[in-house]
Amino acid sequence: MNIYLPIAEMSANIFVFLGMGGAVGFLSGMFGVGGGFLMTPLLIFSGIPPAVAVGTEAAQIVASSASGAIAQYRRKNVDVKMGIILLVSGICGSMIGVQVVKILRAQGQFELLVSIVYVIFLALIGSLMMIESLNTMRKTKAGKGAVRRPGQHSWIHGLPLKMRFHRSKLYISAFPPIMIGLGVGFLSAIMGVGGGFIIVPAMIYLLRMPTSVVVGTSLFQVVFVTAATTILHAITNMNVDIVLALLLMAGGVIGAQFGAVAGEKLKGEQLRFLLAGLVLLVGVRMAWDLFVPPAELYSISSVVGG
Amino acid sequence: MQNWLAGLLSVTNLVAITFRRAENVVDAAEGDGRSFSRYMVVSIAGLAVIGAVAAGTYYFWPSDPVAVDESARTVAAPKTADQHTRTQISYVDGISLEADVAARSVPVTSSFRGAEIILFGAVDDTRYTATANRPFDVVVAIEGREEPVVMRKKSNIAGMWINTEAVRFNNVPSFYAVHSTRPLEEIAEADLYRRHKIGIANILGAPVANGTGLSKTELNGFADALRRLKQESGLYVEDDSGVSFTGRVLFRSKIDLPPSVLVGNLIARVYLFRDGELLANFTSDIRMERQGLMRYMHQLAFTYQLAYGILAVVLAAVAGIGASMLFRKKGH
Repeated sequence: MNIYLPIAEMSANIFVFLGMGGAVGFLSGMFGVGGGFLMTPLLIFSGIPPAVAVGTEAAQIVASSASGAIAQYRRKNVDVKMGIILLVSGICGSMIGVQVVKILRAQGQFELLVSIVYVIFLALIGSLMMIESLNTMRKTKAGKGAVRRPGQHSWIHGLPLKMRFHRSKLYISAFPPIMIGLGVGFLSAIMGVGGGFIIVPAMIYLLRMPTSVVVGTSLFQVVFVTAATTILHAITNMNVDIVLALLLMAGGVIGAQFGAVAGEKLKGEQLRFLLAGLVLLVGVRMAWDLFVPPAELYSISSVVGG
Repeated sequence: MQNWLAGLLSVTNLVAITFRRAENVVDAAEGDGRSFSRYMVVSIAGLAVIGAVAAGTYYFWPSDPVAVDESARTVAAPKTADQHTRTQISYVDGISLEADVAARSVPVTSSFRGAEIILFGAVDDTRYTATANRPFDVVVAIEGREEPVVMRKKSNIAGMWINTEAVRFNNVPSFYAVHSTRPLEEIAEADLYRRHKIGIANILGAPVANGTGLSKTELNGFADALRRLKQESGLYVEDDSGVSFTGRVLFRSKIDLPPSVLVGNLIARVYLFRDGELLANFTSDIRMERQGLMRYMHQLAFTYQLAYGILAVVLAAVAGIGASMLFRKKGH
């Protein structure tokens, strides 16, 4: 069954895109990541013009992450306060990032440098997470049980503006979350990705939030980041295809609900293990694009979003 | 210096107080048993943030260096049947060409899956003598809306493949089909095709190189790649036997319009040849436009961008909230 997409200007099979939305929505609900890094290549592969793929996928992620966030909220897995701090600082970070990109683009091989740094970064985070989660799993198997280490005092605890985060069971300064938000916002502006798969490990390992709360909180902030992105794309590039977005959404919101349920059934370390796999996957995909000789050296792009 | 410090301190204090107050609000909402008020707080905070971000980015976002070509992206004004342009040029006295398309407009609706254009015509030859004349050759070209295109090329830098060069082509037809009675090279000289811009090889204008100077051969490489990619995606088509004659003067051709053609008026050109000589040509346009819901949506997206963006987000939010309500009911 085919339907014509008004902005992408092509005819598309309904069920293909419903399924695509469902699969990415599932991952989104489970891990608290937006899933744009998977969705964009999938859409481009199925013939959607790249500019339209980028804009439309943002709208779809709003839906699936809202669906996932509410599902997580109901399970009391969203730290609203932490989410708001990360969100506001993230937006500031990406505004700085956009300006920096503008300055550095003029310098030549800037994008290449960023790609390399990103691949290394993802590989590092992914492997460290994987090792950590495997160790935890082994300990749990041996009967020792995973121990939470709440009482560690470091210089971070000496920072002012301490706040109590009830959901995360944390009493820390607001500065580390602000710094993380700024950093992730900056990176996502440079790379043009949502940054969910960076903020999730950052919350787990740097802020030491419980894994279950991390997923919900990440989804909470992904909703707002992608909502802003969608509006921005609609204004500047006019590349949001509402029909395509609706198809993806229909699949995505249902996938996200199942994803949240599936995530609930997993233990923290299992979830971290799978997430590590996902982060590594993203790294490998980016490395693949970078190192494997492409079959086609040339590519056509419309001028919009060039 | 002292004043400055005191000012800074009071500002920090103010920030801290605001922070605390916001914290208390959120704490109260979280401590509250009623989930409805929590949703209220979350959604109000969310809407405020979205509004602030949308307004902020609208003003501060750097404008794209390659500006959107408005003329190419806006919807063409609908033409009535009377404005339908048909022109005929004869290069030789006494021989002229008449042609038309079966359906002068191609409607693009939500079920659009490509279209078929039937083009037919007749040759009017007043100097016809039964003995001396060889058969006519007809070349039919259908050209889609033109758009600017950027071609990028990857090259290897220290083992990594990355887009390095970009070349811009203005006025690239989004679709081009050329049908003929015989292979083009048998009908006439290449030079004639070049002069009249007939055939896939002759429709691209000179590229505009962005940045550093590229040699002529490199620029040609970009043009070749553009033609090749367009042919691979079925948007540039050549058919050696696409035009068939019925009898001596009647001819017809069937051109398939793939669904990925950009929406915009098409131009049909018919060229009449004999003995390698161009005798006459005929031009007609074919309207291709969105109809019904497709039309409204496209207009909304391109004229009221902010409203369209907000609509997309609202739809997304409704879909997300709706699904979770549905699933909660199922769960209980």
